[in-house]
Amino acid sequence: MKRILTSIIVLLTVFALFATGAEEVKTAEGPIKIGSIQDLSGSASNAGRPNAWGAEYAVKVINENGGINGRMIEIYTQDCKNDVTEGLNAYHKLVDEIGVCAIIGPALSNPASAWVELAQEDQVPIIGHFMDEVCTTNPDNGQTYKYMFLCEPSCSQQARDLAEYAIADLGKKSFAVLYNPSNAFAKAQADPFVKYVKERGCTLAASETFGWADKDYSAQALKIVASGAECVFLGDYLGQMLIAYDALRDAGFKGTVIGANTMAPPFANQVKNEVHDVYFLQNYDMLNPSVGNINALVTKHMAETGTASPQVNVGFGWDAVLVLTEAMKKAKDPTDGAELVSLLEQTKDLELSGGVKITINAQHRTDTMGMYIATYVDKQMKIVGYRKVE
Amino acid sequence: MNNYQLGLIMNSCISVIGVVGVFIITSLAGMFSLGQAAFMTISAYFTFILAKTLGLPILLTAVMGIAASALCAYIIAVPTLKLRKDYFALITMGFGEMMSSIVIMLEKYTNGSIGYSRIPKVKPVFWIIIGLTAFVIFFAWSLKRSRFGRMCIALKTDETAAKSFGVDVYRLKIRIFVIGSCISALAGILYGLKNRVITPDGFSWNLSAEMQIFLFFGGTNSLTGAAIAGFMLKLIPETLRTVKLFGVSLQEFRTVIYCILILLVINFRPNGMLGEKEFSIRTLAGLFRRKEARNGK
Amino acid sequence: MWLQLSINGICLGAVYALIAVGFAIVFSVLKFSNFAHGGMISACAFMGYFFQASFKKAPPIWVTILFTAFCGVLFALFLDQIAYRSIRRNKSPNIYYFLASLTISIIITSILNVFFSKNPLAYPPLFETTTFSIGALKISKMDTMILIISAALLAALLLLINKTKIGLAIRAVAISPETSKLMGINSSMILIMIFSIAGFLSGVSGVLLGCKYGVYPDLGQTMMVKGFIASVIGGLGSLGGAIAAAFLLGLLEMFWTYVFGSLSTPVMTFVVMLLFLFIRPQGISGKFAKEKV
Repeated sequence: MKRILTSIIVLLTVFALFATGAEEVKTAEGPIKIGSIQDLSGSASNAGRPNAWGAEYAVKVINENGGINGRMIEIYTQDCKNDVTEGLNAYHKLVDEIGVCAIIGPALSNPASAWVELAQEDQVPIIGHFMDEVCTTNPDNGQTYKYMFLCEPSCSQQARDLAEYAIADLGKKSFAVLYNPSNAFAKAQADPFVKYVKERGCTLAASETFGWADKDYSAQALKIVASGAECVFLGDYLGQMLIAYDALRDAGFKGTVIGANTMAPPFANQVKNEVHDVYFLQNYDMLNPSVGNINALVTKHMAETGTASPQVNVGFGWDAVLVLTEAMKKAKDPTDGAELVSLLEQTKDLELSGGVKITINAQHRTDTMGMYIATYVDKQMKIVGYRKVE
Repeated sequence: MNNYQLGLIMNSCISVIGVVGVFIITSLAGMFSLGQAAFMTISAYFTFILAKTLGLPILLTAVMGIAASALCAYIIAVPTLKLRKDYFALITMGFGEMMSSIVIMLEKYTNGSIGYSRIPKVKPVFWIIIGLTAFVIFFAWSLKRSRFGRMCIALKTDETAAKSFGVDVYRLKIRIFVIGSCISALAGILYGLKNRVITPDGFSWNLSAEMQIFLFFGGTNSLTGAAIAGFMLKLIPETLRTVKLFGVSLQEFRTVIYCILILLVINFRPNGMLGEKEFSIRTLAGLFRRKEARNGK
Repeated sequence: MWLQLSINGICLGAVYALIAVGFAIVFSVLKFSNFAHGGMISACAFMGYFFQASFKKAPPIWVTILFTAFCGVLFALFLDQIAYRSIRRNKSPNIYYFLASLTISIIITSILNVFFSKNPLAYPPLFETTTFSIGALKISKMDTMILIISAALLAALLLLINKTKIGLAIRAVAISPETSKLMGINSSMILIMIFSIAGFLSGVSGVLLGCKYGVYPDLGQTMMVKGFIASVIGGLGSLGGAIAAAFLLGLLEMFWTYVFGSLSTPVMTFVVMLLFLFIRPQGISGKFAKEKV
């Protein structure tokens, strides 16, 4: 037993160090290699896998239509487990071993924040949906990270869109937030939300939090009810959103509940209380087959992978590949990172899967995209508005 | 070697340092800590925040960071080490949980869950890590062989007997815990230097548990085994990234596979991979001799 | 308001108690904290879900609970065979059990993650309306159900341990395995009993937690820490102590969160733990034997 085990371990290690070490040389011809780093395992894998699928499917479609000026694209997907170290391993594997010329990034910001300077050193553009501003702009000096590109409204834009809808369209004046500050995704939206609400002269009646290990939010809910807030912002992944919503309604909260795009289906079918006065962000009008091709994408994803509800991340993967390949098509050498970056910066009025056009601005983000606001009518998701706050 | 391989070696070396820290606490003094990641958190945040806000060189703040970890270790050890052994695991675990929530609470300085990024680049980081790993292993090795180390092992084997020989068990335990935590703290700083981003999630209690598991995998009483296990077990999941079995990528299964490996060792090699054996010239010579004898037959 | 918080705290305590007792029962005999319990809870939540989803019309909840508890028993015995048997045969120190249980928990969670993280799952709602009111108090029906089931189960367990012959044997093995062997107690039977009880408890808590919080791979693991704290404060291996500590923890968390917010709760837990162990190092029950010389 001992010998077998030892030999297995030695073999694996040797394999790690040498067998995979074959250096790939970038050639002028042959397929173009791009990487994709997504959460295939870990706590965010239910978002990461559709993202990976979307990117791979986009590459497949582009290759079927002749590739980039005749050259095929090869996409290599790596798992980052929503962890900084794993993300760096995946990055170096793609850049230093496989030799990719660009990377499709994950939808979460934590791993991405570790690549901001590396990407510049290695000249590998990263295009993705890491919506936290710190992934595209250096908060110390306000400079843009040259090789990072965001293809959706940033977190503060999203939070402003939602807050504006609640203030202007729903007529709410006093707000409360209930979110998980240990989750960067939730925190990145809750902070700008609070800031914007205060800027607009509304009151923040309560600010309550919960952590990963907490399972009961009834104390927080009671406090929010007692504070008299009319509208509560929820921020976290779906599982916690369900508990938070039920806790609020159980505590007797009658007002409006608004939240991030994690409140998309199956939210309405999984909460125990009646779903009413719920408004949440959506990146796409996923159920509408007449705008863009997002509906076709999510339908195909559901059919192919057996996923039960439409996943917004499918569109994320698709969009990022689209933005990248558009720039590649114009490039003299589509594998040259520096040239790609200058072309990516010129991305203008490119129609994405949601039917909205994207223009990349000087901060390597976009001002041209707004957010949909959705609600539930008889447990069915329905888009009720589209907001874009300047 | 390219950056990917260098990165993997650095990860493994940091893991070795972490496991050596645990080795000192568990193998020398028989204490079972489930919160070593907390000391990594303290030192890493302390070092890099001080370096940035006060503009001090990292070398200086690193010393301060390690000192801060040592102080925290001391404060915890004083009341806890008088209690039953089982409580020590609980208190260290609670301490780890507390530290991650404190990082979130002090978001003004630590950036909370978004992570403290933009840690300045230190040039020969690879050689720093390699050098410190060698130093830490050497330190633990000489500690184990010193009079102090022998006292600790006596304490671990039979506390009452050690007491009756005049060993001040309580103070010895405190000292060992502080030393071990300093080494964990060093691992935390190196983690930050290498990744240049630190997040509270990166130092969760899974990491503390992982270091304990690595230690027992390698062999509780063998520093060589602990170091080898720390190095290899960090590498193995990475090797599975590209392996395919029947056309299915093992990438997503890498945690499962390496856990099964650990389970096999715990079950079938109760003393870990190397048991009590240590690497030395003599054992190497012994190995050769045995081989020769076998060939001679 | 304080009454309302107390009720919520007791309900939360009932959830913690279910988990803590699962820990304590294994600890009482084998002297290690069985972290695999968290993974088992997750696995059972999934089993229960797929069981009730396989029917056209969901069966009554007690059928699901009983079925899952039965599966939980089989699962616990299976885990005992693959993970703990050799450790027992080798007579390794119980720290190895602890490590094996930690590893098992990680394995279960990652396997569930690989196969079932695609679709978030939830049990269908059990009640038309979720709460009922007594005066100004609003009480969750789900919480009440958990409280009743938990109380009944814990009472039955205490009776089993303290009043029956099997219980006597378990207690005897807990105090001294060697002596009880000499007294003719079949200790491997007792181990099977212990793991069956733990498996039963994980099955019941899996379904109940799944109903309350949704079914996902991390379900049990996130609750494990709380169960561990309660079982240790309660006085390692004492069932009564673990239950008392769990309710205390639930109440304390509820009040603290209401007054100071949830962020500082782990800090509070840590300080309370430290103070408590300092004042009463033998745990709440105080029954646990001193470390042997």
